[in-house]
Amino acid sequence: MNLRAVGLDSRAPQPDAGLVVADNVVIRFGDVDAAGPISFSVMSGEFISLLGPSGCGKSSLLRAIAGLIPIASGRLSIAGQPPGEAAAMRVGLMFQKPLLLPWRTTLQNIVLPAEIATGSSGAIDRSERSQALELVRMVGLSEFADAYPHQLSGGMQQRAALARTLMSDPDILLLDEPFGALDEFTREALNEKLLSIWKSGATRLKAVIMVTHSIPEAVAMSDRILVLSSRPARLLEVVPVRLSHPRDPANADFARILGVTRAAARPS
Amino acid sequence: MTRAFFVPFSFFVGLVIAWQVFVVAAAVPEYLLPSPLVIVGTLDKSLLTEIGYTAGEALCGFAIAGVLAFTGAILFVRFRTIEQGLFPIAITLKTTPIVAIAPLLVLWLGTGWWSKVAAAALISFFPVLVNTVKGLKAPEADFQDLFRTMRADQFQVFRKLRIPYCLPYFFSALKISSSLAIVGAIVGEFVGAEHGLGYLIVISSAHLETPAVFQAIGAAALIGISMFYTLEFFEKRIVFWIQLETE
Ligand SMILES: Nc1ncnc2c1ncn2[C@@H]1O[C@H](COP(=O)(O)OP(=O)(O)OP(=O)(O)O)[C@@H](O)[C@H]1O
Ligand SMILES: [Mg+2]
Repeated sequence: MNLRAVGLDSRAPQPDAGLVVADNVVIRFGDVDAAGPISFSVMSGEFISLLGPSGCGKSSLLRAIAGLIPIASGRLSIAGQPPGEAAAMRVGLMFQKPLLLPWRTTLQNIVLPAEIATGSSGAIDRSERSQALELVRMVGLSEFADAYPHQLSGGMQQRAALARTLMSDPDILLLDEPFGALDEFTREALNEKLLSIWKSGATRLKAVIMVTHSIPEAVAMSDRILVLSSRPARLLEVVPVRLSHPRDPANADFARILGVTRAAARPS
Repeated sequence: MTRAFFVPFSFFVGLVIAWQVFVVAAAVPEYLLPSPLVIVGTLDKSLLTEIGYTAGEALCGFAIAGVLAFTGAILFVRFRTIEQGLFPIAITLKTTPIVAIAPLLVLWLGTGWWSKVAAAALISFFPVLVNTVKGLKAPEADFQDLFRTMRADQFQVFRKLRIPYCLPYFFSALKISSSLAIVGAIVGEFVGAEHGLGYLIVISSAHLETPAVFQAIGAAALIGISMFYTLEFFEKRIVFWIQLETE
């Protein structure tokens, strides 16, 4: 029997090892420990929330997964490969700030990843253009496709940033407090939008990791909540959320999980 | 007529009238301070030729400086070693007054057109270089990380992020440099020339033809103002997002 065929080759991604695997990961800036040691794994098909106090190292963890910063020790892998090298897996990071280019319209901002992927020519083709238009529609910005960022409200800018992140067609979507700066009402609407995109299956998304400060948001959105300690972020608890969507905050199970998460996150 | 134009315009007219009244009332001799009416009355078509020389030299030097400074700034930011090696030299040159260098330029390039162009270019080069370098480095780290997550190469980072980002810095430097370029051209003409407003000023003041000196000064100011507003016209259209943000 061929060992490779049954997945026993050590270099092949282990099917049950998870899409993102952190094994005793430590992130350090100079002599400040920003996160870790922390271990967790994210399976294909999972929506994960990282919940932790301000400054505990959540953004740093996402940056490390995106391959933007190195880890000091431990092991971090994306589909079995080091972050930034996993060519087969695209990782899309939506930053805490919208980071739209002020000289580009909404649509031009959204096609940026496609433009960059074409290399030196920078000319996108018709299917990419229609994909961008579809995304603009999906995030509800059709009327503002040709508007410039300063003409958009904060919530619209965040939606444009989400569409741009999705334009790169990521397998793994990293969201850093995606709608954190917005009012409750807009935030809920956008979270619903995000869930519907995730559930629609219209994208190649395999996993979502979302950073949040909000316990209700984490319970409403995710399959599992990783509750983190204050800096340097370590795993305090993993709260599974086995509720079907749409989730009703008035539901008794919702309230119970909310309580469990709250207790786990309470500073001791 | 808008208020923004009307207010400074009325002050200007008021000052000119006060000047006229003062010169006539105090019977100031013409070689010391000619009256506005005399200055305008003795205007001659030959002034246009001198304006042409000076404006041409200033514009040519300014254009050369703009292109070189922009290219230089990109090289500085792209290759740190070049910046580390040349920036201190650039700062030293920048602090050397153009008046001290102009005689050398005339010695090397002659009393003709090119020594003035060189002086204009030299003086307008550094503000553009320094500001453009600043602008190219201005995009915050998050923007650069965004481009890294999209796996952009250095060329794309320059074309799609750094260069558009630096344009407002580039234009504000160009506006500063446009008036400096005229200073450079005139200083070059002071040192040795057969034409131009600087030459006109030197010759006329030596002959106590003070109205002509004033005409030349006014003409120099006019060149500066037209360059400034031409640049502003293009700035408003090219870096439209800055205007829109502050409106
Ligand atoms: N580039 C950096 N250089 C030095 N220290 C940094 C850097 N980035 C983050 N830190 C430090 O690492 C720690 C964690 O920062 P991080 O941004 O990951 O926190 P966070 O959990 O995302 O916070 P918030 O909820 O406020 O966004 C902080 O103490 C911060 O000061
Ligand atoms: Mg953060």
